[in-house]
Amino acid sequence: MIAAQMNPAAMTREAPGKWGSLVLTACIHGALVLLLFYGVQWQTRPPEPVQVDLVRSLPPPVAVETPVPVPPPKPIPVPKEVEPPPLKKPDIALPKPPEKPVIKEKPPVEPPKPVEKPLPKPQEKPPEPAKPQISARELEAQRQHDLLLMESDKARRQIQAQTNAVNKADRDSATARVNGRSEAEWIDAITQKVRGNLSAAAPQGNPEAVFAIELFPTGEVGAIRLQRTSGNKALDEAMERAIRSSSPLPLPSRPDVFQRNLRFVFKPRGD
Amino acid sequence: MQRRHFLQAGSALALVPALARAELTVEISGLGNERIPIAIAMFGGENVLPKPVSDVVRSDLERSGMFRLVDAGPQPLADISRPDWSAWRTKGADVLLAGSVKRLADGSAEATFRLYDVVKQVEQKSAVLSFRVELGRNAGHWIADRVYEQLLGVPGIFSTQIAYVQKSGRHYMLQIAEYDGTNPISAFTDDEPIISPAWSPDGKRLAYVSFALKKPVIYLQTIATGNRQVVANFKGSNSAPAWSPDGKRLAIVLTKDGLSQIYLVNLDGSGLRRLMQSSGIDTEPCFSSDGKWLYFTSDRSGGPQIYRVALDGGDAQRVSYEGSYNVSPRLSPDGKTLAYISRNGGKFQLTVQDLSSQQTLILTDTNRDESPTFAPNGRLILYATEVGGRGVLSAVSVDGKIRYKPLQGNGDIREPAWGPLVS
Repeated sequence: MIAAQMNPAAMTREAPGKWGSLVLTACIHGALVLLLFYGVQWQTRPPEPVQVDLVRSLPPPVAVETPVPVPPPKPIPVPKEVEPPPLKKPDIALPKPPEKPVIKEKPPVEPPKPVEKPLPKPQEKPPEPAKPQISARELEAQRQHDLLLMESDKARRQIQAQTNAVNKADRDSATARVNGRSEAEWIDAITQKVRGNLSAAAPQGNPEAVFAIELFPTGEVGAIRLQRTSGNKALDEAMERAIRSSSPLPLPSRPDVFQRNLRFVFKPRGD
Repeated sequence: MQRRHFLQAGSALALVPALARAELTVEISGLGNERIPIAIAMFGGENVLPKPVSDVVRSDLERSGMFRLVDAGPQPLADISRPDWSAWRTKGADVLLAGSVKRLADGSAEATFRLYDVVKQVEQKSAVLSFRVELGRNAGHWIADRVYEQLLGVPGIFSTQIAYVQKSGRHYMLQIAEYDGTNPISAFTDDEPIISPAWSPDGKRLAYVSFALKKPVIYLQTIATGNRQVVANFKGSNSAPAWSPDGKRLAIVLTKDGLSQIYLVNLDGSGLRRLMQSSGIDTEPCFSSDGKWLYFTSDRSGGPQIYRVALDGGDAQRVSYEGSYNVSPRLSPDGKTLAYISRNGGKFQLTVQDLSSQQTLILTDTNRDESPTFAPNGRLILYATEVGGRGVLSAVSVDGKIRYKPLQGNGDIREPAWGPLVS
């Protein structure tokens, strides 16, 4: 896929003036694809829940940003760019006809799940049929990958800078709104889980206890500290059990909502 | 590994604009489950006992309504000091009780128990007790009390006793039984009625009213020896004894000066003193556990209502206002809740009143409730009522959420009195 993307770029290099804007478009789209791509790499390598959510959350910032990068023609084509590889495959194939079968194998793998396992498979399978050629190609792919990665980083920074400059206030309020909602949802999810795990006798009176907890990005609960006792040690312990047995806690849909330190206020009698 | 993930996640967070926020507060109100899931494993070696200890603990805790038993299987733990945390967690237990029993050289037995918090993976409590083999049931109650207190923060009542009066044919029997009515023994039997048993604060004596002399007379009986003595046999009726919290005197009701009035008297019958000069009927006295107040029933405002008076003087204050008929006051051990019988549309029902908010709650749907008595941990109220025309004892939690199967016997059972905590 990466190699395919890079090929048109190589071609346009011949007519730089004319195709400048196309290059920019390709670069930015490439950057977007790679944002996804890179994000999913996290998912595939360390199988921690956090990464899952981070990946899922990465698109939203992009979505917020897209309105500004409107200059680049089509933000949607992203999938299109993923499809082309089969078409452009000939470009690669031309210089190296014998490789065709190998390449045929790849495209089908790539288009359906461009983000899932692009790297591992090509790297593992090719070595058998035509080692030297493919390793060279892989090398180039890697280089392009790195370049695009850098490019995407730059593009993203540019986009962000633009966004910030153009409409900071708007974005802030929008983010705050979205954050507020995600935050409420997150707290709600935590509340549901912890309350579900709170097994204790209905207390007499209306005791209230406060715990400070430390949360890892995985949702795992770290230190639990009793800040204010309910006045009933057994009840405090039941509450601590509820927190502990709720670990890992649900994670927010947006990672920026995540907070490492939470304060739990228990009111077992209700309000 | 953990650290690396965190770094990655941290860098990811840096990609999006971060807004400074205050510490998030998660408020959790209410409970997911009002019963604590507990696994009670068989105690290794408990087969030497007539009744397995773990069975007793299980039935006590389940009966309390505060626990949900998690099946612990038919085998004791191989090593009670090293439970398999994940296995018990998988079974859904929050806490685990394991133990063992062994026979000692002198023929007695020794039970060891360990209570674990399965979630925190720590031991919460452990103890060893030795007991005579035939008292294995008491050992079970004792362990259940420790578990209950550890997990709920209030003392268990499984080792306590109740007293009540059973009428079988023409006989009246003053019975003393385990908290759930098991293993009753007769403290006193007579062909004349017995009413109003009252436990001394130390649980060693019972005051009660017997009609053996063809009129109500107040007696004091030492439970261990069966010795009994007359406390009050004045002209007219002598009734409704109530112990002062220090166990040194009784509040009693006498008609020697006309209508029923409340008096204080020492245990040997000396030092009689009339508490109030009321023109109406005052009866059914009950001390607050701090000894400062006496609650009682009076018709001074017309219908029977509940009042209280300070023992060091002052005017009586009306306590119950709802409805036209409220009798038989009993104060919870913490002095915050008053239980009494109220008449509601012809039904006589057990009612509780929160003394700070004055809110009342009718706890039963029966018609003829009588004689409420608090469990010494304040969580339950035992009372007499009628089911199918027969007198039975029933119990309900103070919040009305847990009801217990009525205790029935041969004939009618009435006049319950819950004994104190035993240490």
